[in-house]
Amino acid sequence: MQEIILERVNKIYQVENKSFYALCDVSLSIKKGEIVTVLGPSGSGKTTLLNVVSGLDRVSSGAIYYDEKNIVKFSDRHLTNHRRLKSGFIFQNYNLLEYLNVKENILIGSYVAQNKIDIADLINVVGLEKHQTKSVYQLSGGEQQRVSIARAVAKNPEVLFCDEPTGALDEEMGKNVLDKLVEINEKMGTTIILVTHNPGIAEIGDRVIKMNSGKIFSDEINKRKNPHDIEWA
Amino acid sequence: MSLLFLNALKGLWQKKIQIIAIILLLAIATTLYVATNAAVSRVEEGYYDYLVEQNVEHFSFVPTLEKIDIDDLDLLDDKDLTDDEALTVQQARLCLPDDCDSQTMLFLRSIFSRYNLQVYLNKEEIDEIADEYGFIYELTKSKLRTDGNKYYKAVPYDEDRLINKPYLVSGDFPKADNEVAILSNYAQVNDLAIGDEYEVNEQKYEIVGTMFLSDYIYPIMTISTPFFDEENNNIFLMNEATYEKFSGTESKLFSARLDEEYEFRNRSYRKGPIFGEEGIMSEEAISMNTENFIRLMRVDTIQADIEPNKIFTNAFVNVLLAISAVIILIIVKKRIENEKNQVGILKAIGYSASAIASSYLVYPLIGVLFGCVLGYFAGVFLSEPLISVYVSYYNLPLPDYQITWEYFSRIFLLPLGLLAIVSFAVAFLMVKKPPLFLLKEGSNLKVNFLARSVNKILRRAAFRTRFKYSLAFRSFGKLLIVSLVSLFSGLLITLFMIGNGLFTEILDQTFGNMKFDHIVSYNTFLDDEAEEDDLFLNFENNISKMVAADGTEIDFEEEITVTLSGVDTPQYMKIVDEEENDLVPKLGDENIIISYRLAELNNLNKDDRLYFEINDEEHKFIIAGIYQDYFARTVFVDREYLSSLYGFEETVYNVKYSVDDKYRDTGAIDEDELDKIEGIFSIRELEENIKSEIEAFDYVIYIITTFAAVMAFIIMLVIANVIVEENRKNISLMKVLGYKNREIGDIILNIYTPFIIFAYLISIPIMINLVKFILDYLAEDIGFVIPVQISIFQGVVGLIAILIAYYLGIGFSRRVLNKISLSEALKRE
Repeated sequence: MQEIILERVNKIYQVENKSFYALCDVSLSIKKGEIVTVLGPSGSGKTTLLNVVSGLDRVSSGAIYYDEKNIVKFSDRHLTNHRRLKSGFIFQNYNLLEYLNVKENILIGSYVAQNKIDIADLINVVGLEKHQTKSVYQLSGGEQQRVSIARAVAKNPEVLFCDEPTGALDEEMGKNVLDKLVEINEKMGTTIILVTHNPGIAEIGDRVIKMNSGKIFSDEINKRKNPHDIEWA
Repeated sequence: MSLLFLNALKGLWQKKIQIIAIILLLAIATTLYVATNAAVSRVEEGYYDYLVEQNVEHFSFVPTLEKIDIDDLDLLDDKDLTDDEALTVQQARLCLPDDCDSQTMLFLRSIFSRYNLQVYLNKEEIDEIADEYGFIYELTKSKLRTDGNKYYKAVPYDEDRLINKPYLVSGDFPKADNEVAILSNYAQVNDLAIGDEYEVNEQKYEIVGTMFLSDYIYPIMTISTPFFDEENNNIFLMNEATYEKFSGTESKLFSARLDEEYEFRNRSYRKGPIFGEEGIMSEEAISMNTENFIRLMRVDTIQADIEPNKIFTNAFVNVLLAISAVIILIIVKKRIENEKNQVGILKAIGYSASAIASSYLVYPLIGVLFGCVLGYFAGVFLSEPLISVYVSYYNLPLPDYQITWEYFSRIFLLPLGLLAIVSFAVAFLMVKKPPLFLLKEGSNLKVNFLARSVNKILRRAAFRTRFKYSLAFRSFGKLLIVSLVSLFSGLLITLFMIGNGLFTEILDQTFGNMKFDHIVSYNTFLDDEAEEDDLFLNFENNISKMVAADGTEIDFEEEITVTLSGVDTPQYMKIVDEEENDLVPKLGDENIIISYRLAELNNLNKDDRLYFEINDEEHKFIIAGIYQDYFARTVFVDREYLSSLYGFEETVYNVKYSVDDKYRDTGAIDEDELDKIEGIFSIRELEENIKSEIEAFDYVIYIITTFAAVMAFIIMLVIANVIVEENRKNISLMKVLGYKNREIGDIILNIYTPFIIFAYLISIPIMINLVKFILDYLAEDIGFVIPVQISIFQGVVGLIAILIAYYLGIGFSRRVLNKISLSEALKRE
């Protein structure tokens, strides 16, 4: 994958017969291997941006190009296949399968991959080797998020979409999780798009995109900071 | 509290499929109950009142022919006896009372029977018996005339009758000559009114009234027509003089009514001394013949019909209610699991467990409010055709339809109470946990022993297989619910397959083996060999002992009367077993072939032995085969052997199965044979008669079992919906991860398929044995046994149906799910 390009993307919701722009005329491009952080207050449109770029949600108008293919025009089936091959997801609330243990939760990600990576290595990378047969409810929040990261990475995605991945964690756990994400980006060259409302966390990115009211009002190159050096707001 | 209700009510709207399913389940249960009960209860109430008001007989009897006195022979003086008969009477005058041989007595009895003189025998002894047992009795007579498929029965009207008073529907009872009062149903169907002229056998009568005859509630005209045909069967009352002139075969017997107030409802009089162990049959002076038994059927059949219907209706509705309760339990449990955090918050801010649990009563409330009300009106609507089916069988006045308190509580309060208790109990148990526990993320699942074992067993299996089964076994409760619900559905579908066309099939099998048109029975024993017909020597006899093949005696409580039928090589009657093998070659001395009915009712098998007392000696017969007949109480033995046992020197017969057309019209039979004929029984008429009525039975069973199948369908839809709903997050997540629909189906939604199949397969033998048990229990009352089985083809069709219902449910629920955006679905709940 070379880059992701968004051209004049709009996402409109109808609320009581009024149009509400969750995304308004958004255009941007993301290069392979970049860590892009999207910063903004609640309701600014950052999660909506993440959802439409990842193909979880449809746009109202505009185009989103992956390798020059406009995914806006993809059918649901095609879009599923696109996610299957190219995308990994990390959510604030982990979304783990509660009936499965740690290892099985990671395997569920690996199972659909074309370029599988070694699960045992991955478990070591995320530091869960002692917990792999445990049920997920037995883990702490940070550990659960690491399972979620491992699951996302298990299929070796080109892009990792992270929606407030540390939102439910304390500083120490949060920084550890971010460290793992950066490590994965450096080792595997995975593009990461990370949404956050925490300005400190945004500092781990190569670019920081700031949003408000569904619009990008700043898109700046940033010098990456080590996650352990950032200020935790 | 009201806000909690409002919240639950709004939540209900999100689970449309589930609440609609509950409403439909309750509606079906109520429809069935109301439809069948409205019909049954009206007939039942009318029936018992009628028995008391019209002084209906408790039983009837005829004087026994065993006690013919020498003086009784004078009764034959004015009869036009044949030479053989005159010779027998002459012999009897010499040997009576004690020295006559059995053959002479057999002939003599047949002569008394033929000239209808039985009712004049044993007068003093009968009076003594009446005093001893406390009953009154009076003569009941009638004349039967047939005209093609039309049956007319003339009954003399006597306004001073004590027993079996007729019930006037309209007009008057006949007083003058050639006036008649006819059956009300017949008048209605044939569009006859009071004042109309009515002609039978070229004799004109004037209709002066319409009525019911209280001893013809279930108006069996003859044994050939066990079902009443209101278009062609008529009974009319006329004065004594008109009756005397009416031409037809006359029957005379005594109707009896016990003095004491015996309760008809529980048939207590049947437990009275005259019907007790010593029984009316053992009285020397009186006995019961076929006509007396038919009369019992005329009065009793309705009760035998009502009771199983009531039991079945109540039991079936209770089963449906129980299923609805289980479904509500599942839905409430799943809903609370989904709303665990919300419940936790409510508890955290101070709501009590009972207040929160009460809000889940919206399920039973809405279910009963809509389901039972809908079901009630549908039931009332459906009850009309059912009532007309019932009423066409019976002749009695019916009270108006009324809603009683019992009825109301059964329809509305019981379902509401039961479902409310179930909903509240399950909700309360789930919400009573501490708020922090409820607020905790995840379900606090522990990997159970079963899941661990399954994981170990499958450790070398492919990931997908391991994943599927570990997912299935980790929630044992869910697995149990799916299996139980599938079992319920399987039971209902099996019931549908057992019941569908059941009676028609039995009749086809039974009548398919009868290739003759008429059964001709004679009042004497003949020894000419009519080769074109099948000849039988028939005697009614009681089984005196039954012994299993291993020598152990088989107990039986009540007397078992069978027709012992001597046969040689029948051309028109197929006596075949289940595999269609001809059983006749197996007949030889001491061998006997019994019917499927007899075998089933008494647990008899091949090689078991039956004992009969013949001419004061006990004779043993070994069961050589069981022939396919579900109604018959006839057992077959070798005719020559039976003749010798009864003391005949030659092979004789007294019954003939014939295809000869002359027996359709008695005018075509020569006089000599006509004199000897006791009765002609048209098998084709019987077949037609039974089949036309059985169609109605099949129709009712079809409706009930179709409802059962619909319920099975609904249940599977619900369970599929529940599975999709509770995996909603997992399905969304897997879609996010890029799993295709087929893969999601394989991994999450289809994991229960093997369990559904397994539960269904188990349900087949369970339902077959359950129905068999019920039918065996009812067999004594309904008079025949019903083979309960389903074919492999039916089994496969049932399985496909249940899987289709399941996958339709999944497909439908997923369509709803697909409308929710993935990002929304994965939001924290």
